[in-house]
Amino acid sequence: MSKSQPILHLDSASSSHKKTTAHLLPCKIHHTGPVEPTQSFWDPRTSESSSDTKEAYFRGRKLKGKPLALPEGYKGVVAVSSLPDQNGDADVIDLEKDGHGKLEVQAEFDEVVVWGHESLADAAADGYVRSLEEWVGVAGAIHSFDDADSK
Amino acid sequence: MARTRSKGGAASTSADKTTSTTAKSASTSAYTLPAESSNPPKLFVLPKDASSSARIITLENPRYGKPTRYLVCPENGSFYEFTKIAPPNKSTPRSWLLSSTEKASILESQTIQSPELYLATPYDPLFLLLPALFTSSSNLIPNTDRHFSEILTLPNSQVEKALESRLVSVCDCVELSDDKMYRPNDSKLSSVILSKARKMAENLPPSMEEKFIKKALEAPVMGIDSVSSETQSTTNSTSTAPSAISTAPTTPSTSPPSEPTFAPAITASPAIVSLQRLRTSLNFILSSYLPPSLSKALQSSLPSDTFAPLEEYLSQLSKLRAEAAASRSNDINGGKRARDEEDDERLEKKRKMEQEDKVKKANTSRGVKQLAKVDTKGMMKLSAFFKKKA
Repeated sequence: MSKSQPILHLDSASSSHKKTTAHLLPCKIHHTGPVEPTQSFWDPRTSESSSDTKEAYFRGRKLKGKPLALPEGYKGVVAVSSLPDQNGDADVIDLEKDGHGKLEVQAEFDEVVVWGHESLADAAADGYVRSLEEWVGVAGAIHSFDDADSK
Repeated sequence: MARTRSKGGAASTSADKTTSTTAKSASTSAYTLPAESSNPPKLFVLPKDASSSARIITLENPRYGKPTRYLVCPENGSFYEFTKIAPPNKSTPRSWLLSSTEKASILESQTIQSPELYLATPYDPLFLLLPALFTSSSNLIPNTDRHFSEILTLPNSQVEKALESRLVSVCDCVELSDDKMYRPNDSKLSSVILSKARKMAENLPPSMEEKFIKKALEAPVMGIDSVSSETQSTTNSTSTAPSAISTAPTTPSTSPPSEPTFAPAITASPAIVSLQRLRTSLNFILSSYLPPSLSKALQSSLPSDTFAPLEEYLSQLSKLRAEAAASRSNDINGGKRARDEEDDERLEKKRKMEQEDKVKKANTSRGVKQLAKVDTKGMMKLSAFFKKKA
């Protein structure tokens, strides 16, 4: 099993300056890849009623978005994993030995916007909100250890 | 309105695009969708302090024994586990849209069909050591696993140091000549796990608090039935209310002396609530990070009176719940049955009458039926003809 899953190196040097925003849309899009131009069909604005929600119209439907800042000390990353057999570049030959791959960072994001139809996602119902707001804290509590603990 | 305007703009830009790039003229749509990327990007949420030398490696999951991906930063010797966030229901339609924040960004917007998000959170490498240390069926993973050994041998890797410090926390250390020997210590392990559970119990998130603490300890509210329904059930509730009060002194619960009709039968004291929190956290840790056999052993090794007050409260609670359920069903069924029986009798009579009528009607002939309608007033009865003439 470890043969099929290579060791991945995090490669963020090339594109650390590119910023993006991750929108979680409440619909299924059967397409993975670039979609341009986006300004024509995706124009989220800050809601007039309250400043911490966003509004957008997507294919005639009103969506409400809840911006979720990533937890303290975390960064969002859009990355493509490139497997060793797929890249034939000369400069990665040293990595190709023994099942090494790269996790190429394409862009970074600081914020995830969770969109819902006419309503806002809340922590109790939405797994994304819950994970980002709650699980990070719980995981920190479970897995933290200090030196006094290990003596 | 804004939408129509934006649509118009879109049409013009796309028109520009088609003319400039001389795209397929056969395309009927205003847009031409670029080809799907063969290697879909994934979204990660990674800790900032993981350096660029961080690796994603596959190790055996200590709980499930399956290969699992971990993020390891060799420079500070920290481990992170990945949590896949996806909609709970597969059919929930969700997809990612990545749109650039700045207008002049080089990165093009893209959509990603799969709604997954991988969240890397800190992971205590102690858990990785446990199967090898405390379960009998162990071969030492670090020696056999290629990924692990590679992480250990990286230049200026702090992983070994980190692992050693974690090892010391659950082992007795004996120095024999030049070698350090470690002997696993069960009581050390259980104290480490318990302290983890305590820490988690202090930071229990609202959703878990709601589900495992509030709901689990909630006593049934007695007597609500008695207000809404008739006199019959008030006698019922007054009979249960004293029992609730009589149970109160045995537990350190603070039953409010308000009207018995609305108060929950018993309420949990802060001590019991915190015990329940601790147990929830402990169960969570035991069931997600420790090998099953080990977590069972640990659970039985706990002093039996750790959760005694909680157990007492819970057994009372289940009794009360059963009582409440029983009385409720009694109320409903009892009232219904009494009414139903009366109704049944009346219905039965009615049905019999109807049936008799039907039988009578079926037996009478058509001629008789027609004659029945004839006005026989002033007509002589047929029997009159057969009477003896006076």
